[in-house]
Amino acid sequence: MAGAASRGFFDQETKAMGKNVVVLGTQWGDEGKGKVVDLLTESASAVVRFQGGHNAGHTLVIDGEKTVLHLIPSGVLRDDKTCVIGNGVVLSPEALIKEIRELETKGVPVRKRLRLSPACPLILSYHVRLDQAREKARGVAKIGTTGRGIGPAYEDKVARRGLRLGDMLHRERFASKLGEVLDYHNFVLTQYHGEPAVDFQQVLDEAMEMAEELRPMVCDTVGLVHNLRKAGENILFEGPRARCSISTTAPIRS
Amino acid sequence: MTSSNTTAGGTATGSGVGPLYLDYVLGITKAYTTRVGSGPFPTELFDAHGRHLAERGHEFGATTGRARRCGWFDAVALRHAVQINSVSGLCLTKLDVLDGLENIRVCIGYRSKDGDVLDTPVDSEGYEAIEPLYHDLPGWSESTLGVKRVEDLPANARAYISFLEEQVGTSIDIISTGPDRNETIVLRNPFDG
Repeated sequence: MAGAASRGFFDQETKAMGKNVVVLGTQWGDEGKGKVVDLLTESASAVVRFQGGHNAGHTLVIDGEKTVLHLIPSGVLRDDKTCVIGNGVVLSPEALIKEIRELETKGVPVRKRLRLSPACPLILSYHVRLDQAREKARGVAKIGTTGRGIGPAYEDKVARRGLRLGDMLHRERFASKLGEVLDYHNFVLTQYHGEPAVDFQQVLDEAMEMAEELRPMVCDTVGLVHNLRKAGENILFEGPRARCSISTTAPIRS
Repeated sequence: MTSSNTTAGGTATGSGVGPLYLDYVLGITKAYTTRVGSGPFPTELFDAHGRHLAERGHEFGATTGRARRCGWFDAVALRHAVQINSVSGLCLTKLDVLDGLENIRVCIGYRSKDGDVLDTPVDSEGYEAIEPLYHDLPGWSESTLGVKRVEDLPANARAYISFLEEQVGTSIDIISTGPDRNETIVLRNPFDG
């Protein structure tokens, strides 16, 4: 290896690494992040989301038609970008599938471009029910949440009872964990909030159906991102989404 | 109130890329300040200047139509945001909203009731008895909408940008001068390191 002899003991072989760039708003939202993300996406091979859920979205205009992306990075519209939903995102499989199908009707091959971390905590129907029941109970002192189950899903993660996307891919494992978590949440819903219980079988059946649709997109996203960087590719990390709005004329077909 | 970690530190924990592998953090900020909903907002305006920012900046919620609260740029709040996010450089947006203002104020510190100059309060209650300490800068009458080169900005707009950099202690690497993607001045591309 040329030059190896002159290299000191601690010197490492230097190879051109790609750059990891994070974009985030530094005020109270509405800073206009969407446009900047769109602009920087041009220089990146992959766009990664690392927190939040399907709360506020980016409004895109594709062929004069409005599409709101709540979960998927806007880079999905470009044929040479990989979009990653990292383990820090609380994922509603229902919202994700809805968004995928909406983009597909507009000709965007989402499934080819999107990769999901199996470690994403799931947002399931009982999280939404809990979120809404609590806001109702708080009355005028309500937090003003979007009522989409994001807070309760994060709580489950911290309380070590949360289900993850990877669990959905194994029926037995998922059913057993779901049984335990629903015992707890149904007690809270019925006894504390006086609301009807959530049906175990219904949640299970719906989840198993959605799992088959998401399975091909689930992969080791950590390895994926690190390998891209090692190969000299740039990666953009898209920070929290507020009420950003962008229009784009980016090519959507490969 | 948000249950997720919204700072740059969340990038590492939420993606599996360790903190030392992050090469650059771009912080986006408006050339002024807005806020939706309740909470402390030291530089909030309730006068004609506030209306100017709201109208020129179209500061109304896209889905709700609710007016956003508007105020002057708060360098104290930005300094704090830069610290907690290890911001490498800033992107300044909506500069053109300030076009036509005779005088522009920037909050450079907070003053307590006793006259002491303070930094960021540690909790939201700490904001109750403080008032912003302002520095005034002359505005500009020319339009900055769609300007693509920094030398084409009015001298006072360039002076305003330099003042913000000096006060926040971070360089402004990108200036957005309009909604379109080519209405952007890139002084340093974050990917070029």
